[in-house]
Amino acid sequence: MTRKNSSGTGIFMMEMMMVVFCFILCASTCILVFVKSNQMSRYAQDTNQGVLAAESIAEVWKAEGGEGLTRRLAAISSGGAVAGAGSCRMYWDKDWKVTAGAEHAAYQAEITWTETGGLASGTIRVTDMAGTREIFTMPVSKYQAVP
Amino acid sequence: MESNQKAQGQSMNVLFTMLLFLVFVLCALFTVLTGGKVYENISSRMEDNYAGSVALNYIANKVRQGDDYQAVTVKQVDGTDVLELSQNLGGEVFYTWIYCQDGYIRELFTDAESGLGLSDGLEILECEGLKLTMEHRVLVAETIGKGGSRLMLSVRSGGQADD
Repeated sequence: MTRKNSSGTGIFMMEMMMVVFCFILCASTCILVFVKSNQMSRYAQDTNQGVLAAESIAEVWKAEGGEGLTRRLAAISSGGAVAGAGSCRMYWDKDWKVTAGAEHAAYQAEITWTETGGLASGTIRVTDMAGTREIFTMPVSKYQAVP
Repeated sequence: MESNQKAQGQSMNVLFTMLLFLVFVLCALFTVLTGGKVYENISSRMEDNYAGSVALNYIANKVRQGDDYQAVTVKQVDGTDVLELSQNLGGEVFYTWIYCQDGYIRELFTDAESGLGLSDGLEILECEGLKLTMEHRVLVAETIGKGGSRLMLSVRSGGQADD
């Protein structure tokens, strides 16, 4: 009689353990999904802000060129002195506010362009500070007055 | 002696069951709390994106639509920054004012003689504040408050009348 009782408790315990184990598996999957969705939401926010930043860079570059970028977005010229070409780098902090330099920056953007005849064409690339995660890239071009 | 051992075994069983139940409750609690926090983060980011980028994209779209010679200007009306887009329709001048008042970005489309003011604009979307400046050919629109952002636009037709 005693042995029968003990065996019943053991099966009950095994069942409980299986149930809790299954629940832990489900919970860990859910948490992984939550973490992934949180990361995706952060990337989506970065993409939104990156698009606005790239749009601003393109508009200022079209209106005022490299000097305008330096004056309005604290751009630092990053290219060598090559005739008919240019390159500028700009920085933003984690709240996407413009920073003057890479010290407190979380994001960066680089615009590189070349001029051929009356057309200047370039690329704007917004990335994180490590340069590993590309947030947004777009081509840009403008006609300029030929002297 | 035997009944003592039996009682001890039973109490161990109860303890182990309670421990399993505790693990179950902790897991459930942790999952729910994590889910809640993630939902809160995502919701907050969506609101920030809406406040920051939708308002600015709306303004950018309106400026590109109405970018005619000397048609895009920024002025102050009763201490409020107003983006004025003017257009000539059938020989009569009409204005579109875009500005922020009472927590909303508003739009007012009217002719020059109507006498309508800032309070008559239609609500477009919620926004804590909007700062507009224009220097030469570059219009700077900045949304103020949580999720605030900034966009620069070059006015292709040449900017304000006094530039």
